This record gives sequence, structure tokens and C-alpha cells, in this order.
Amino acid sequence: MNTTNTSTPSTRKIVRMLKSSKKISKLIPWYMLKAKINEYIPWKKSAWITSSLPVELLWGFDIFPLHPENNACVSGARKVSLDLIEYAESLGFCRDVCSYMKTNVGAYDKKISIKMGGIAKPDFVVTAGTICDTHVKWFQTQARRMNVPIYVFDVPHIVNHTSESTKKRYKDYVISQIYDFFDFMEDTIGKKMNEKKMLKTWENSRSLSDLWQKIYEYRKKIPTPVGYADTLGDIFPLVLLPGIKKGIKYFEDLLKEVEDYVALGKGILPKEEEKYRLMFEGIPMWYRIKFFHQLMNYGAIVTYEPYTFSFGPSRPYVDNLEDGLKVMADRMMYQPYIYNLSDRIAYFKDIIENYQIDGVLLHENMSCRPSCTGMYDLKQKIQQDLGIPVLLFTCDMNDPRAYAEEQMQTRIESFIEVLEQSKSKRLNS
Amino acid sequence: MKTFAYFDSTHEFPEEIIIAAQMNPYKILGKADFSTELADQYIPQFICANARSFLNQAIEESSNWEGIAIAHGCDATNRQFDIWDQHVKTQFLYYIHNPLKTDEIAQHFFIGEIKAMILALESHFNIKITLDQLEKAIQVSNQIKILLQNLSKLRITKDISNSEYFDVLKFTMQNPKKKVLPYLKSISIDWLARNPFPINKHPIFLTGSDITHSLWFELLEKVNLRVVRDDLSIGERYFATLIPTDKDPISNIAKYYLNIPRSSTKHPTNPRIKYILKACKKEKIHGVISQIIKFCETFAYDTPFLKSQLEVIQVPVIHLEREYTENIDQQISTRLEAFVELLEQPQ
Ligand code: SF4
Ligand code: SF4
Repeated sequence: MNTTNTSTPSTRKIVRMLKSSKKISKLIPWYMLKAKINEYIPWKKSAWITSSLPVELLWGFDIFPLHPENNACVSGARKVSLDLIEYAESLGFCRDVCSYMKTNVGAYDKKISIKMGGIAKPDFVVTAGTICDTHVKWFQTQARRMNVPIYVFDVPHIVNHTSESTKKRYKDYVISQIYDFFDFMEDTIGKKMNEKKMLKTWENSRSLSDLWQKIYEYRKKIPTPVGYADTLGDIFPLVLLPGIKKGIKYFEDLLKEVEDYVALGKGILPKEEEKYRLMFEGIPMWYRIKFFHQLMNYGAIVTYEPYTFSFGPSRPYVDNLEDGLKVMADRMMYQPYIYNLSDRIAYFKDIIENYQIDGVLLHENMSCRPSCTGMYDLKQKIQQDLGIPVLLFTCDMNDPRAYAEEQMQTRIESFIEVLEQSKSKRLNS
Repeated sequence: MKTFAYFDSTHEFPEEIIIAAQMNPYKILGKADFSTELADQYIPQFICANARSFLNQAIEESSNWEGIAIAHGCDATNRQFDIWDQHVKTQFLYYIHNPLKTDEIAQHFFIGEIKAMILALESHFNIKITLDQLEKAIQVSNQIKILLQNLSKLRITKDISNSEYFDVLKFTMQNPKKKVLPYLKSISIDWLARNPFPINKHPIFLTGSDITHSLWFELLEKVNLRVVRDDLSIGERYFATLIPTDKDPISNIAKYYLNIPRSSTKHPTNPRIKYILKACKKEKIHGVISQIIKFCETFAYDTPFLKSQLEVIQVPVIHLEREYTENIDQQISTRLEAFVELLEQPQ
């Protein structure tokens, strides 16, 4: 057994990131400041929204979006999530429910600062059942506790073999609800949709997504010019600022730098050090981002994540409300994070081939049961049909109690060995 | 009679379509041996064991069924459909979305879903499901619901054990309705002749995730807790309301399924809580048992709110998380005994 590659357990001292990615540290405070100011201007309205919904829906109404999942991951990354989770558990929310939800309950009740993942009371909340039951239950619970109105989108699921006629029926249903949401906005929130603004927002969003797609294309290069340390922060404009010019400028700078990197043959790891290109499925363990840096010590770098890709899918140009709503409905109904099993397997195979992936990491996230369902079949198909090693590990994205340090270290080391063997076997054949 | 099986999480599947198609709608509830071993190859163990046991049964027994439908209730249904598609051998596997909400838009959509399912059945089985047949199916369904309502009422006045009630419900949901009707009538005669409600038993309301084995009901019986009201799907949710008969049968079916007692998988959640509170006020319930099978998130999210609302009306409540096993956890038995002691203390 070759063990030479597995003798680098310590964390990489410096993790190279794109310079432009660091500019996120200006964009996020800008957003936070706006959120803070918003709280004090009575006529400015804000809403909580979940990641299953296009945030443009709010910008088009001039509603300031607040994103509890985003704030929860900030708490995770700042290592305060456990305290908040335990607080929520003391209220009766059990150990097994989603840790984002519990983080949010703690963050809201304890009024922690926005920098640590705190979040203000909104004027209303809007959610959908597209991705998970949690999104609906979470917002039902918090809307009741905060005494604010709630709008829930019911989005049917596209399972294996869903026919085109059924998809059409689903889409009509979602579009009817979007119009119903417009009525809710007028009747309950007193806001009318500004069609011109909505179209402008969509156009800006399209530019943002296009840039994201281009950046992602460059991740195919060896060595990859964009690492996970970049994309984890870079998705921020896609999550909260689609339709806002500031995000576009940020992505333009990012793309320019990526292009320069590629022209010079530079990567996050130097070419000779980039040994294994990985795909990571699931939400990262925010409290333990070091995990990814640890991988890099072995020359293993994550070059594709369906999670970050999901936020910026390509979208067509639209110049009228009707078409725009159709595009919006499509996005609400189907995105990589919720692909059905057949499409998920096909999608993984395609990525593995196009991004020259050597191994796949599947995060079996105890908080996110829906995303874990199907992972065993996915693992088996990747291994069996493509001969690519897969590491499936059980953890949680925001609850550090689920992370077993030593066990994870051992598993990484064994996985690196498997990667080494598998890669040399593939190269030899 | 041919059997058509279905998996729904909280009474979402419109079984009247299957009755109209002259087949027996069979609700999959897992096997008596609590097995999940086959399903565990495909579904993580931290996903509710109810759903895993249903898949397990389907893998083993699908050859006895003409087809299978999965109706959307919780994440387990839509996410696991694809796994059933890969690993359960069947000629016909169908997915139907039962809406989250009850408004007109949802009703209109659900009518479309029901029509689409009828077309799919007609085309696959080469049959015709007429409006007349659907109307007759509704009549049968309503007759059964009325019988169950009457039986259910007897729980408050007569000595009917928890598992007897559960067994009747389970029989109703798994057998041809032609057999069910005379069966329920004979049970009615039997139950009417029973002794009065035993004085040593505490009338309780049972809520939470669906219970698919009688074992749990027996456990409650052992500690003198008698379930006289509930809002389970293998329980009151199934029969509390009747299918309307005022419009065309498809609209009536759609309306019915959206207006049954709500479960935690639906929006909004308040009607579920109101149903429980109303029952507690009406029936002089001594206490409420709120339980979830481990990893059933939808019901878990509602637990703190439910408890707080019961505290307001001063009805004692205990919340339990149960495993899916025939060996009842000693800790749960102890907690139940302590709950009974609390109920027995002078108020
Ligand atoms: S982590 Fe999973 S379950 Fe939790 S909110 Fe996100 S998608 Fe839903
Ligand atoms: S027990 Fe809960 S999680 Fe399991 S199928 Fe039923 S509603 Fe869904």
C-alpha cells in the first residue's frame, strides 16, 4: 500500500484564494449595513426568504431580502452555532431537526449581531417546499413566533419519469401562485410589483448568472484557478444580490482575475501539486472549513460543488413579465440541488467527465435528510460505472457535535490512498 | 380482486380512484416483523423508519400488487420515489402531488392531478374509470367513514382497547371495501354490547407521526392510558370528514383530501392544533400523548408549539420520541408511568 501521500496531517498554513474573492469582505458589510439601516426606516420593508426561491421576487417589489440560511452559515463559520442550536433544543426543538433552523431560532431570540449571523425581524416571510419540508416548517414556526405574515409556495416535485405534460401542469400551478403572491403583497404588505424594476432585476440576474457560469467553466482547467475557499464566499451575490449591480461588478473582477490566472497557467495549487480533483456534494461543515484546507495538503482540491453551482444556473433573456415568470417557475421547480435520482446520476457523470474529477465526496448531512436520500445509489453508480472513488461521510453542516475529528482524519487519509491507487490505475489503463 | 398499493405519509392518496377502478386500495404500512433491512441498503438510517419499512415491504411483496402509487406528503415521499423506481419491481409506479395548501389554486391543481392519474390508470390497465364509478366509490368510502365515526365514538363510552381500534383501522385500509363494510357492521354490534369505559383507564388524545404497529397501542394500554381521540392517519384523519357529494366526483374528492384534519406536513399548521384543542375541551381528555417516530421532522417542528398551547388550556401533555422496534425502550415505559402518576394526582 502506498502511504507516501498520506503523511501530511497538519493544516495548510496559507490557503491561496483569488484576490478578488477577498473583496467579498466589502460587499457583505455593504449588505449588512443596508440591512441595519432598513430596520430603522419604517417604510422600508424586508422579508425572510429561503434558498428555494428566487430572491428577485423580492427585489422586484423593492423588498429587502434577509436570508436566514445565509445568516445561519455565518454563525457556523464564526463558530457560534452550537450555542444557538443548544438554546433552540432547550425550547423543545429536538436534536434531529435541521441545524440551520435551530441556529436561526437561537440567533433571532438571542439577538446576536449580524456579523455573527444575527437577523432582524422581517415584515413577512416567504418560503417554498421545493427543497425540503424544513423550509416550510421553519418559516411557519418563526412567522408564528414573530407574529408576521407568511406566504408559502407549494412546488410539486419532478421525480423520475415525470412527463412533459405533468411538468407543464406543475409549472402552471407555480405561476398561478406567483400571481397569488403578488396579491398577497398588495393586500398584506401594501406593495405593488414594479414591472419595469422586475424586468431590470431579471436582466441583472441573468448577467450575474452568466458570469458565474463562465467562472465555473474555468474550473475545468488544470490546475483549477478557483477553489472551494473562493466559491463558498463568492456565492453571496447569487444568494442575496441577484438583480443588484454591485454583485455584477464583483463577478466581473473575479472573472478577469480567473482569466489572467488561466493565461499564466496558475492555479489555487501549483500544477505539480494538484494531484486529485474532487467534487463535493452537499453543504459544507461551516464550523470546520479547515477540512477542505486539510485536503489540499494532500494535493486534493475541490473543483466542483453542485451546491454553489446551483445558485447561478444559466437563464434566458426575457423582455416581458409573462416569460419572466415562466423562467422563475422553472427555477423554483428544478435546480441541481433537487434533481431526481436519474438526473442527479447523469449530472454527476457529466461533471466527473468534464471537470476531470478523480474522486467524489458525498456529505451525508444529518440535518438535510432530503439531500441525503439517494446518495447510496449515487455512490454505487459513480463507483461502478465510472470507477471513480467516492467517500461518503456522515456529518452536519452547522452542528459541530456531529464532527468526529479523529475519525474524519483517518477517513481522509484512507480516501487519499484510494484516490492514489485509482488514479494510477486509470492512468496506466 | 386485484390489489393496488400506495405509500402516503398522512392520508394523501385519493383511494376512491382505485375503488372506482375495481381494485383494492392497499395502504402500505410495513410488515409485522418491523423489518427495514432491505431498505437500509438504499436509505440512510437517520431517515424515519416508517418510510424505510414501507420500502422494505414493497421490495418483498410488490409482485402481489398490480401497481403502486406514492402520494406526496413529506420529503420521504418525493425523495424516495426514485429509490422505489430503482429497486421495487412493479409494472406501474405513479407519483401524485397532494398540495400543501387548501386554497382554490391548490384545489384546481389537485383536480388536474387526479384527472391525470385516472388517465394513467386507464391507459396502463386498459380500463375506463367513469364518473358514475367514481360516484359509487365515494358512496362506499363515505359509508365506511360513517361506520368508523360511530365506532370511534364508542371509544369514549365503552371498553374498547387501543389495539382493537387500531386493528379495525388497519383492516379497513388494507382490505377490499366490499369485505370492509360487513366487517365494520359486525364490529359495531360487538362494540355496542361492550362494558362501559373502565374507571381505571385515563382517556387520552394521541397525536404525532403515524403509528403503524399495534404494539405501541398495547404499551399505552398497559399503563392504563386509553386513546379515545386522535388525529392520526390510521385514525381519525381517515374518517373525521365525509367526501362531499354536491359537485362532480373529481372536484368532491379533491375538496375532501384538502379539508381533512390537517397534519404537520401541511400549511398552515394551526388547524391541526385547533383540532386537538377542540377535542380536548369537548371530551374531557385527561392528557395528550404527543409522539414522533425518530427523524420525523415535520411533526417534530410543531412539538414546542403544541405543548405550549396545551399548557394554556391546562391539559397535561407528554412528548415522546420512539424508535421503530418491537422492543420498547424501558425509558419510554418509565416516562409513561410517570405521566400516569401525574394524571392521577388530585387536580
Ligand atoms: S440544510 Fe437541508 S433541510 Fe436544512 S434548510 Fe437547508 S435544504 Fe432544508
Ligand atoms: S413518519 Fe414522518 S417522516 Fe416518516 S413518512 Fe410519516 S410524515 Fe414522513
